[in-house]
Amino acid sequence: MHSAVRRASTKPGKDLVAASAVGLVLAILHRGASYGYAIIQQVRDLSGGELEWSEGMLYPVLHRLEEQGLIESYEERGDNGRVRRYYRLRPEGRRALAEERRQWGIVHGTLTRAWRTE
Amino acid sequence: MNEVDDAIARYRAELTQEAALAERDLAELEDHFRSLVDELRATRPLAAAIAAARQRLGDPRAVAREHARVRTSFGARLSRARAWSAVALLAPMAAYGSYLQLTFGGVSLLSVFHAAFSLGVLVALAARATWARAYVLGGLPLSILTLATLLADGPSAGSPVLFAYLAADAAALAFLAPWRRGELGPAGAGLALLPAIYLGAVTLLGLVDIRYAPMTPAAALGVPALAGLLLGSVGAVLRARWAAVATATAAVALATATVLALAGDDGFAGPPYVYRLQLAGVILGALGAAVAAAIQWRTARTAPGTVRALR
Repeated sequence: MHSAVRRASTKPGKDLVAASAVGLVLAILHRGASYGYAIIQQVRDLSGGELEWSEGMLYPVLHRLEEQGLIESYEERGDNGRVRRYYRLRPEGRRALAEERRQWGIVHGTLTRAWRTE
Repeated sequence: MNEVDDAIARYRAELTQEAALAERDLAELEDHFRSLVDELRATRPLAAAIAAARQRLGDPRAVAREHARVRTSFGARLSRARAWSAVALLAPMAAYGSYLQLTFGGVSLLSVFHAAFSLGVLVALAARATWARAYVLGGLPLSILTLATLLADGPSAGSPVLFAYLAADAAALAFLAPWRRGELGPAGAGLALLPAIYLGAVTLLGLVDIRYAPMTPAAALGVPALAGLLLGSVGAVLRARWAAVATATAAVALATATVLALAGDDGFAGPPYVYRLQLAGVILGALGAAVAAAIQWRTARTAPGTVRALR
């Protein structure tokens, strides 16, 4: 209880951020193909700056999702002339996203109900 | 812009000191670094922007370790479905082949070694070791080529058993092939060439082994070829530079054997369809060894003490 109160003023911790990473990345890519830096920007916008990643850690997450066949990458020359690796969702990724949403729904619903009766 | 380039060069150096990252992954991080500096420069001086960008990207050692966990230097880890499908296709064939060889070909040092070696590689493939995937991937086209030659000509032409082998190999190849770009790293491509050397070395040793013939100069060269291959393989998995020297030794041995074979070495006195296969095996081995040695030299890890990071 005390620690929860103390933590209320800080941003979500490393473990919580890591746990939500896959669902978040899949959801962002579901809105359209994107690249690492832009994904991070979207995470910041969506969370109102409350979710912060060690940004270099995003790429291993993307690579793992690619290896699992949930997303795929392709290279494209960006507006600044640099070649960039873009990622987009594959059909398997869409299914995984639906499953992520279902599971987070369970967690969210449980926490909401638990806190309501507090 | 020089300060940014310097900072990026430092960050890259720290990354690669911790683990071997693919160039495309380094380029991806570099692009992120530059985008961050561009963004942060609007609100602060360049030096502060660079420092902040570095901090937001994260400790390079931790970032490198996390990259290495996902992608080893040999390439991406196969999914369980793909690895086990390939093993399911190859294992019965390898077991049956070893059984035939040990029963009818006779138990010899070479046949026992071959059976144990095949088993070990298949176990490693089932465990999804990235080096095993690269190795088997390189071996399958050679096996398919050999089987196709045997099916076309000689006493086993049109044999349904050989055809089943060929079909299983082709299906396994489909599971192991790098369909997505970047699935196989440069060091992995070097490993994929090693089966060609194995084929060449075993062909030479087989000149003596199968026919219990006296040792000929070409057959004797099978010993340095196999020794070079084994040392080179261990070194390649460790990504040590001396691997290239060992593999180059095998290349020289196999190239010399090719010359001897063309000059009419007594070991190569079999029927034409056997001679063709033997000659092809030795030539492919020599070429594979030469290219593999060059790749091993170039992809060797420069900083020692990074094996830990790749675990």
